[in-house]
Amino acid sequence: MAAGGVSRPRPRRDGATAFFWEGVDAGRLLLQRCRGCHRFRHPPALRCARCGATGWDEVESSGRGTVYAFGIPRHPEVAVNPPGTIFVVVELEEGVRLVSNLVGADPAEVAIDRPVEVCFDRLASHDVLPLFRLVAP
Amino acid sequence: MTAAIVGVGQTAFSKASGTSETALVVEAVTAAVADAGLGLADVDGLVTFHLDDHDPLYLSTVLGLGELSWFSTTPWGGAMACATVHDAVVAVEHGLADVVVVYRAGNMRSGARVREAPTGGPVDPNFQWTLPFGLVMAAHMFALWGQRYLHERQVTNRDLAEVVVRQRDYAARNPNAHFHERPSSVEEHQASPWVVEPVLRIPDCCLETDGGVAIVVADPAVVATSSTPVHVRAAARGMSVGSKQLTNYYAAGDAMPDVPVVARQLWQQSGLALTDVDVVNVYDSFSPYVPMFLEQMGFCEPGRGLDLVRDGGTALDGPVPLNTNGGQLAEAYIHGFNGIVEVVRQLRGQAVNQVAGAVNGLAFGSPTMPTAALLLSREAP
Repeated sequence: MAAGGVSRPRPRRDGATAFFWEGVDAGRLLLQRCRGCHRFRHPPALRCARCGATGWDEVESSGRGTVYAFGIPRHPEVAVNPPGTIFVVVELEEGVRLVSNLVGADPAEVAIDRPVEVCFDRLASHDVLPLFRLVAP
Repeated sequence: MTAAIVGVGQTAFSKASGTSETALVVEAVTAAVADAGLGLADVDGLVTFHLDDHDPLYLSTVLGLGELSWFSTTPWGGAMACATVHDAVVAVEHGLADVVVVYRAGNMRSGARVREAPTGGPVDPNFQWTLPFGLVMAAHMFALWGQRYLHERQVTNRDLAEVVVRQRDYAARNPNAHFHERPSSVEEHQASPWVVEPVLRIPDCCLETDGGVAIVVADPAVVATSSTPVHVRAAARGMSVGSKQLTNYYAAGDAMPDVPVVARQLWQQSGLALTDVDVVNVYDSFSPYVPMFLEQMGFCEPGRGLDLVRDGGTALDGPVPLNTNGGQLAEAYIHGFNGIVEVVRQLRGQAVNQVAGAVNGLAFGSPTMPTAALLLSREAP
């Protein structure tokens, strides 16, 4: 948790999303793949907006992707984001995008399309989160 | 449609009102009703944001109103600014109420501030994929979307300064504006601290303001008003497939998918076209909204939004005079309500930065979430 014991808002585990966080608890990044059109989707949903199918498989992601977008929060300082926090949207190899944080990265090294891979840690949260680190191209 | 905006009212906009939120809402509502030439006894409908401290029940108590036959609140803050008026229009068009007052007021600077971010506890389900990762302010959420726009257009934050400078220029001539008599420059913009690097600096983000605005909707053929009515030619809201609040990183990077859902309804309802619009006010909590919205609406070719602004296209003598009060970036942040009032003033010919001969005006809510818009006209349909 961040200094002062302030925690970020906690993940929500509901009928559509519990599998994702249970996977994270076990160190696995799970994605929904529709049984109707066989497309990966994220964020999870109970029904496919493309084909209407309600069935899905939970498929483990390779955890590899690229930086789709990033941002470094500067002002105002908020307790839930310790210095060094980098927001990132990762485009996973499976074709879906995921919001996360980059860890262990020098902000000067971060750029769109840089390769990343998943890792798991608590950061400023009560909960283990799927986070990402830069990897060599 | 027969409904019209027949009254507008506001308080002073400030950083510290020195008074209660109750006093602000009462002042704005009373001014709007008086502007219509009506009295509080005529009011039979109230609509506001869910975020307002005075919901219709409490405001009716505070103001000692008579029986109400219409009331509602809309979700999601500024995106629904026009949807509150839409609710009022629906009520009037269907004869559910005769005089509906729409309002939003608060001490949104001296009271609770946006930096007071949520911590711990259960998460709003609509933000469950961003809040746990520390994206707790609107600027955090939108910055990642905005960055894709900058990236795909091969521009940088410096190019956004053109938007800010234009709106500060409008605000400099607007006595209501926070930045009255304080124009800006690209250099000042570039010297400002980052909010989210490398996308948004402080002047790229909207103000925080104490104040209130109210709008009266009625059918001028039914209710005797003394003001010049501004007719509602179209009122619409829309939610795209997979819509998100501020966090739609899942659609194509530079798209604002909720905007066309609303826009096509505007043209269908009114029979008007984009080229009939003389003045525009779009909710601009962050400066990239302006070029992104201009492109998404079709006011310019894809990728030309910033060029349009830079070339004076959103100035008073340009093809798309936009946010002529200074917008939420430079006049005040009343959750988009002040933008609707600005369009009304333009169509009454009473704006500080008046567009000569403006007949039709467009007010549009936040383009980064389920949203709503109003197409207003000084001419009856």
